[in-house]
Amino acid sequence: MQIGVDVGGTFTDFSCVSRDGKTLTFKVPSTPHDPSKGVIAGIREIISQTETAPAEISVFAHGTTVATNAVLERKGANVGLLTTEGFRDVLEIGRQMRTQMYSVRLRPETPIFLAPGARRVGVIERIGSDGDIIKPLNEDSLIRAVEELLIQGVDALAITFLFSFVNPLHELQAQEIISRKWPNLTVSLSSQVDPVFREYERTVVTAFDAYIKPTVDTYLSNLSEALQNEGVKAPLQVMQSRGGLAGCKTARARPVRLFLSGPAGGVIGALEEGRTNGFQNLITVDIGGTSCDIALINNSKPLLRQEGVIDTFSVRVPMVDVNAIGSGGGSVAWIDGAGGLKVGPHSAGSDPGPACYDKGGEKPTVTDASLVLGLLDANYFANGRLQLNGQKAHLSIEKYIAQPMQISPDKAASGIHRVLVSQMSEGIRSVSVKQGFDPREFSLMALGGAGPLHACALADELQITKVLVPKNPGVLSASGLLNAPIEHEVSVSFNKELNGTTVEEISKTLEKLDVEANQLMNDENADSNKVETTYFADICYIGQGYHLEVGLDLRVQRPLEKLYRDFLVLHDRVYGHSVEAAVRIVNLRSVHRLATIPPTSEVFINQGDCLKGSRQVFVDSEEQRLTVPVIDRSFMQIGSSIEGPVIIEQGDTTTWVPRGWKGSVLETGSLLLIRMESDS
Amino acid sequence: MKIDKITLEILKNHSRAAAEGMAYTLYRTAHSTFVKETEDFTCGITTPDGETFASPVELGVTWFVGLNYKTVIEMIDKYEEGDICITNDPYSGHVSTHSPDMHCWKPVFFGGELVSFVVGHIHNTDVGGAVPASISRTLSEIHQEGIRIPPTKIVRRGELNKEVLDIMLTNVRMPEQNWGDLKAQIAAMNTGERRVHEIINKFGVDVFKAGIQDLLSYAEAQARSIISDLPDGNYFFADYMDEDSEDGYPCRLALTLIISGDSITLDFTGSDPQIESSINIPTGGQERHALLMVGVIYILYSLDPKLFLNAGVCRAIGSILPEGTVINPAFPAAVGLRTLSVQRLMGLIFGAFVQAAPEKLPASPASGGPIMNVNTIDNRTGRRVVAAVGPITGGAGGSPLGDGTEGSGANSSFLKNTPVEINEIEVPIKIKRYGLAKDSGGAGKYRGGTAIEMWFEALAPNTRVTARNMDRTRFTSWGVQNGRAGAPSYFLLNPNTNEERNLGNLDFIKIGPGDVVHVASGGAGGWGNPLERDIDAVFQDVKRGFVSHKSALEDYGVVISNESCDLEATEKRRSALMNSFADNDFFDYGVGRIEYEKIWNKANYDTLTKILARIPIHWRFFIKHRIFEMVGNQETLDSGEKISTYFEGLLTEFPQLEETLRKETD
Repeated sequence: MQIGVDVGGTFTDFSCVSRDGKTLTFKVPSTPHDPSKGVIAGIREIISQTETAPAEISVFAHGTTVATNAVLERKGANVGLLTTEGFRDVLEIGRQMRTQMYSVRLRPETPIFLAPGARRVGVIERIGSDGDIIKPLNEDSLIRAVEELLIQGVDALAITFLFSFVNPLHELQAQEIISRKWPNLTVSLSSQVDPVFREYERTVVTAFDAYIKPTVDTYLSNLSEALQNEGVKAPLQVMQSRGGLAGCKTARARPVRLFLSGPAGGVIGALEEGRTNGFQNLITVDIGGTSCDIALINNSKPLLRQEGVIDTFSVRVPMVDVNAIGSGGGSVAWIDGAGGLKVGPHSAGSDPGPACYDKGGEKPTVTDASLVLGLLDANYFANGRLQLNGQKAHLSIEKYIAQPMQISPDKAASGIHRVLVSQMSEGIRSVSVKQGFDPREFSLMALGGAGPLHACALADELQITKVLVPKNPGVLSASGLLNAPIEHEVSVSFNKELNGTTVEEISKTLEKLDVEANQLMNDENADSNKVETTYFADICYIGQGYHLEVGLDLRVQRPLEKLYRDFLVLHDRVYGHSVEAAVRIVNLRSVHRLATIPPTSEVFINQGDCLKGSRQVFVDSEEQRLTVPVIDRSFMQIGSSIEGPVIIEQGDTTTWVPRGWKGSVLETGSLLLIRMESDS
Repeated sequence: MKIDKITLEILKNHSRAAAEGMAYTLYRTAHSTFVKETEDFTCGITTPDGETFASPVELGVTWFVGLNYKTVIEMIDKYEEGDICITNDPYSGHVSTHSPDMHCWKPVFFGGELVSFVVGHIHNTDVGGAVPASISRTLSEIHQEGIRIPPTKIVRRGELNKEVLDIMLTNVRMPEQNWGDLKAQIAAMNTGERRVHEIINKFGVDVFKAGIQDLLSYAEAQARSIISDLPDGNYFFADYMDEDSEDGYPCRLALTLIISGDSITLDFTGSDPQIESSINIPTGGQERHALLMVGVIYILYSLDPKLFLNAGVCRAIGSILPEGTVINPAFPAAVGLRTLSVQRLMGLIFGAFVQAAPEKLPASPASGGPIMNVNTIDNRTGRRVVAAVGPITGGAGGSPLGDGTEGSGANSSFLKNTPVEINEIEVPIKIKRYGLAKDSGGAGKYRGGTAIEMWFEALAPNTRVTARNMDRTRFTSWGVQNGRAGAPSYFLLNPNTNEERNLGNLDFIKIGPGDVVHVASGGAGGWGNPLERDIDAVFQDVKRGFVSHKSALEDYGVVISNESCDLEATEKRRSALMNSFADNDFFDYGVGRIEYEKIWNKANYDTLTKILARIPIHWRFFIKHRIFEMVGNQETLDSGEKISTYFEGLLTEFPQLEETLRKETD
């Protein structure tokens, strides 16, 4: 039995595949106070439902939001930051970039909370740009600094000395002195967390690492202990932001790599879902209650970014490129001072939630609009667990939107959808354009509770002609965990002109990285014969302030020449031009990966008539309500096809197929929707 | 045709995204590091009349929301599909505001009809002229500031105009960069055109044409509703730049803000005559010129961040711009360094508005600071290095919402700094300190944001250091409502040694190995009485090195002993200070300005303004200097009579001037 567990804010999702290929997916409520409780509750349920012995669990892969939540809820450690004397304000000054322009009253945009003013102390030491020691580490000043921080209640230290990425000596010395004197104090070194130049970016990653380390550590050790107590023998594997699994020990040592643990599972799940259906280029759109997550899959590979965003702060750790925009089912519709209709970014959340939840929420939301338009069944929302109140939705839209705008509630509701779709489509366009891709060359994968409802409208906006709706669009994060490779990535600053280095020099550096990565793989008892090693170089033109990651294959003839050519091609794709000018290798990276064999699962379909009934749906372009058939997805046979307008219902989502679209059920049980005029 | 509000909202989303798409195309494809690192460019979409109805909010500089291309659009005879026009001449239509800014516009046709323009600019690193980068304070004529291209088609019906391109590239120092950036602009124009076509295909051309007019009216309505909430009245404010020329006299900007119902008039009468250096602001006398609008847009947006930003906002605003002044200079005044004066101009507008909304708006931000450049030979490579080592900026003003942001903020927040670890790798200097300067933020209940300071040592001989935009060494950022002014900026050579030299307002110096430079921007002004500042906030400020023990004691009345706060002593000290506390004027201008205005008070300035307005433009700067020389350091307590007397004396001294004046009155 293989188990993937994704802990979300509201639900903990499980995806299990038994030895004979039977799949079981289900949710239990999350237990935010101690998420491991929810996980264990689920495990017990699996064990009793499937009559499996705990020892038969062979894989246990986990996606967690514990790192992210520690940041969002500001529940991390009291971090003290040690810097080179004269540079303690680097964290506060940042790069002086602001996302909000035009305002004279701005808020700080750097994560000052990690180590506010007095918790940043300078230490006498200095290393030069070529690694030479300009001023040796002054032990007294270090001890004084730590003592000063301890008085302030600091329980974790981050150390970022200038040029430690060239020469880590002073950071290592400091760590040794500190661990001798204060053995229980957690220390994060910038030369280990992120040994790359640019002191602000390195400081931020290192401080985040220190900030979440105790929380992540406690959580993961509690969970592995609890699993052992349940008799689970499979090692605890944790999803990292890059989309690869790591053993518990590595995850605890490098917690800063877990920020996108959950969404990374989703991307891998989508990738696998696409691959098995023959789709290599996908844009995934996961629409939940408060936000919409967008990710691109190109050539069956997730797009990665070297710098991700956590709670609006840029953090230099590699992550799957998942972009959130603040629109979802709970987004509130409102009217601005000049009479314009707006949707979001404020969300009604789940409590009180949309007006139709009938839990005291008054403001109209996207979900209310869906109900008014007739797209949702009030009695069959979230598997019927939540009875919706159509009257409340109607009144709310009437009062807050229709009356002020002097239009009918139907028009108002469809207006809410149109505004939402225009925002989301521009969000998707911007994500793909920034990466140098044309969205028209992709298919759309609709995920989340509300994704399949808006997917065709989004596709129309983006001139995308195919939409894929997985069988279980709500639990891809959990199933993705079972498809993810074990992966370890180590990198080092190299900083040499390509013309001024040799294959030997590069190989030597990579060998050192490989030793480190091998060690990490060994820690997980990985079969070293099956581990696949790939190398990358971050390259920029000389004088350029930004770089691109380029694959490096040392086995080909003239590998450096190929590296250079590949850089030119990539630069052209991303930046629209490339010139044959001198380049510099900024960093080298080694990625060790052990692919997992994805479990094969069989598709189960109910026998019987799939037509469930019909509903009156308001269609704006036709200015009227149409009678639309409602189909139960669990009865849709493989190979069967439908033509819009039609509504397809299943427990965790509703798919809206408008006129002009047709659909068919693929071998895998996925639903493929195609725009008809593009048929030829 | 009036289009419905839902369609309008959707049109708005798509238009803004189209402008954003142009900006990404440009940003992605531009070659020069300058564009990548500073994002000094814009993109927009205008009506056929040149009014910008959509611009990006995520990328680019903030100055040109209100930009109107009408003047340059009209300077081209006939547009055809596939044309792209350019100009960088500040005196041809006043769309480009200094010669490095290359503006582009492309007509968008639909069914043979011209329905829109897509527009934008890039700041080119160099366009030739007297100095590298084409900008220096010392230049006095536009001709020294590089090649000027009047409105011209660079692409004609899709075909590149090679002749014009060759002339341009022959005249610049790094032609491949200009060409690369121009290609990026052309790509952005083409993206914009394609996106406008997509929008029209979606909505239909009639909805598009009506919709873009509605979008302007929509922004105008929002702006007017914000203005209506401000009390009617006339609000006067003046501020200064330290010098109007090298070792010169202060340069004054003056503004009477007139708020009346839902409109605003900016009357700049009282501003100094145009000057013999490049800090003139070329508005061409256009009352809604983009450079005048920026400050107002900042204010209106701060008062209501839901404001949709486009040229419609400017319709509620008008200006009075006396000709021959620093805010409306006559040809051929140099304008390259208007960055400095526009920063001060924005501060001037903030100072007028804060009187109308004192409980909502902040004290003065530091408004810029010197941008440090180093030009030398690197010992390690033997290569010449010319590099910006970073903008040394200051924070935002304290406001009723809290302290100003530290180090940068408000209108000085869009220039990225350079990491120490890149500077030291690429430039032969050693940075000894880069941080926030102690006691630089103006004291207040809500403190002004601190300034950035940098200490660095030169490692090579003949190291030429430029501090472009150096200012605020004398006239500091003002505080409000008993909040104090921010600290002045400074530029020191070899500090704390026998050879220490205060370089004052100097913006260029040559140094050698071992020389140490210490430079700091000014700090921002504080808001509210510092004696009312939260005691723990003061204590924290001391611990993090933003405030000295001395300032804590003297300005904030907070007593700190043995690393902790003595609450009892603090209470005593605060009440003693409170008793002797004189409720100051609304503004605290700082020592430099208070001293200066003992001599040059408002009455003297009023008289001077009247005198200068009477005489021909080319005499003004000269006469101003002569009168300043005569006044010297004497305090004058009369109401300007002495100034008049001096002027009468000058008329006797210069019969030529008297004759001109007589002729004019005849």
